[in-house]
Amino acid sequence: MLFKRLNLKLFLLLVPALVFFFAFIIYPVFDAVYTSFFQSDGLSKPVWVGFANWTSELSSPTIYHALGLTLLVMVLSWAVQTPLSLVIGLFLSRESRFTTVLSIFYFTPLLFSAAALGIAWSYILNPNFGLVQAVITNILHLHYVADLLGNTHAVLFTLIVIIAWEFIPFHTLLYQSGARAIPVSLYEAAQLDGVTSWTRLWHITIPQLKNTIVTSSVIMLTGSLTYFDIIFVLTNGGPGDSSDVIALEMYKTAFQQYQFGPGSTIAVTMTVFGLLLSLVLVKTTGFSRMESQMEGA
Amino acid sequence: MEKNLKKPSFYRVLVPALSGILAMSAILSGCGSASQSSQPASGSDSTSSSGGKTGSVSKLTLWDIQTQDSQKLIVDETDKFNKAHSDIQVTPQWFQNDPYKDKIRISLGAGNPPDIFYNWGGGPLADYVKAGDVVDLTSYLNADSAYKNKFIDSVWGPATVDGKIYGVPTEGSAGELLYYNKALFKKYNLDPPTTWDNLLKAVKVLKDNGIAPIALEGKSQWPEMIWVQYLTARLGGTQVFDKIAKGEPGSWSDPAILKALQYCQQLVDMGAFQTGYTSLDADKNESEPLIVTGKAGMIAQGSWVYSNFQTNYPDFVKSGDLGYTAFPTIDPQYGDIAVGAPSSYYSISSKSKNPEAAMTYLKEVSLNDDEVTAYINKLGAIPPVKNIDDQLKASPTADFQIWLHGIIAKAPTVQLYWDQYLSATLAKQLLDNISKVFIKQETPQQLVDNMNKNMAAAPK
Repeated sequence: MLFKRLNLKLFLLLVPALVFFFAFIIYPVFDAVYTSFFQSDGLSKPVWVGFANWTSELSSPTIYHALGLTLLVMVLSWAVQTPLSLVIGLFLSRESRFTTVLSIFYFTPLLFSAAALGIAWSYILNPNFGLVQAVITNILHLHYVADLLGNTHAVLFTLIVIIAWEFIPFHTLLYQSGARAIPVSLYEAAQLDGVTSWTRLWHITIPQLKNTIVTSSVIMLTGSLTYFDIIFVLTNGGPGDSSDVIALEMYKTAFQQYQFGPGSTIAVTMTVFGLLLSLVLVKTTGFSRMESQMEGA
Repeated sequence: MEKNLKKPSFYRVLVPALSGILAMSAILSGCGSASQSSQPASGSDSTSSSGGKTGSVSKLTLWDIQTQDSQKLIVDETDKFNKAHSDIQVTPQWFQNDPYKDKIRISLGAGNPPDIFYNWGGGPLADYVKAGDVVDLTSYLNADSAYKNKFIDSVWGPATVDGKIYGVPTEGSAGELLYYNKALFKKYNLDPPTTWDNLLKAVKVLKDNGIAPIALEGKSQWPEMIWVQYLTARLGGTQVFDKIAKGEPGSWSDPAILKALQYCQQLVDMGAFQTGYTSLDADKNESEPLIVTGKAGMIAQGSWVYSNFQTNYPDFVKSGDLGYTAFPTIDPQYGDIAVGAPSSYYSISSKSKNPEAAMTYLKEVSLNDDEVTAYINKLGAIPPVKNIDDQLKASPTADFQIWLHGIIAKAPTVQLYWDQYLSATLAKQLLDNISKVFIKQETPQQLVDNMNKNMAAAPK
């Protein structure tokens, strides 16, 4: 049955994708698993240490601290980004010249590199010469220093806001196209029945957007799990370890402390965690069953 | 379905598409064996026999991180050397400081390093030596005592591993010191911060007047280590860290280290460091303007920062408001220990096809007479060579150079930066722990315990 289906032509069409998938996903994952059983400093010959890296990493308070911060970033990012993206996406899904112009401006953060954004934000938030401080001192005339990246309690929330600012446009785009795909006939029927706009949103728009919400959330949550670049540029995990998320801890271990074994261990842990997360999300939401969302189905 | 296979049109599209994709993935995965670019591929040039060569030319690559004027100087001197030697051609390649640390390590580990590479000596160099990646230069140097004795004796320390020398000096000496804004000190009637008591008094007075007493770049971590290292040396001498450098178990428990960390936390409690110091970045030179504008009174930094002041705020330097002093003394018997580095180094990698040619280049170019003169007069540096007093006096920035030279020459020991003594792994762990002590996420005792544990766990 399978062979009948998978004839030569289809297989040939699959080859490019398979080559990429193996070269850039499967091979690195297995290489990381392999490396996690060695003590390797990048210079000398790696030494087989069995499960030593696993036992030391999984009993390290640093890792649990980093995992805790990562979970916090994931949950808060989702809580901040989803409602905002949904609202803005619905607003921009209406056809009018005004929304088109707004969208063009609004999607610009998507076009910048994350490292450049990080550097720009570091200048905006600089407590001595930054834009935010200038506004506080010269416009609001307050004697207050806003040290948003240097304060151990504020830093994570500052980062979550910046990450949200960076990614809301992307998710807005998803919701915008999702909302545009909802059949107008549904709304027309609702109008005939004379329902309020709130009911329309709650009983037509949101259910119709279910798949979009799941897709967006999977991207958001797995993205937050492995989120690295802006945090690396802005704080490098600091002050102390107040913003030391798991991806950063992996980078520090492997490329700043040159402990490639423990670094790979963290990488594998992250991969497994990410896969489980995606699986659970997709299974529990019925997304994988590909239920039709259309009328009359 | 099957009859589709007979359709030529399908393959006419597919085959070019496939070959294109395969070629692309080959390039992406870095096995572009067919790259015919005129640019020398980094590191591979030395190992491949060059095509179309006349006679036998040794092509050598050099990796370095110098910038601006010092980079230009090395390029010019290398060009001169290449013109004078038809059989040795050296190509320098330039990298940024922080990425370079990863790059050199990974290229040495992967077995495709350049012939000659820049390094800071100390722990990282010892890591490379242990892995068998560096050429032992002792015999070359002993064969040419005139060359070896040109340099000050202390310069060889950081490049020596187990009694053998693995690098030659390439740069000016550096030291860490305390800069302060003289105008502010005059305004509030303060004595220069030459002793710890003076410093504490200055901190109090400046704080009361709404000025940040001390600027500190906490995000970069190593500026915090300047305080910890100097305080340790001032309280307990250099023997404290010598034990650590030897890897003696439990050597972090020395009372001087604990006390030094408590002093740092005391400064934090007094509000000595400017608000937001934890997010300041030394690589962006964000602290000099604080000193220049009088927003902050003092900063402990390296002598290399002087040239930043000189370049970016010439009027401020000219006005004489930039004060500098050795790190404040606490216990007089340890008052004149300096923290610094006599030089940075060029080493030759074991993979080099022609180490003799590389050595010839190093002897003739690195810190030759032209370079020494340029370092003194143009770059305001102190090359680690003997008998340069007269030349220093004639330099446009003579005051600072002669003062620094005195400090470094006078010091009974010049202690290398801690993070250069330790292996890369321990150094990073130390910096992380220090930054936690500064923001009180950790007590001094916890740092001591953590570092003892890390040292015990470090691969021998």
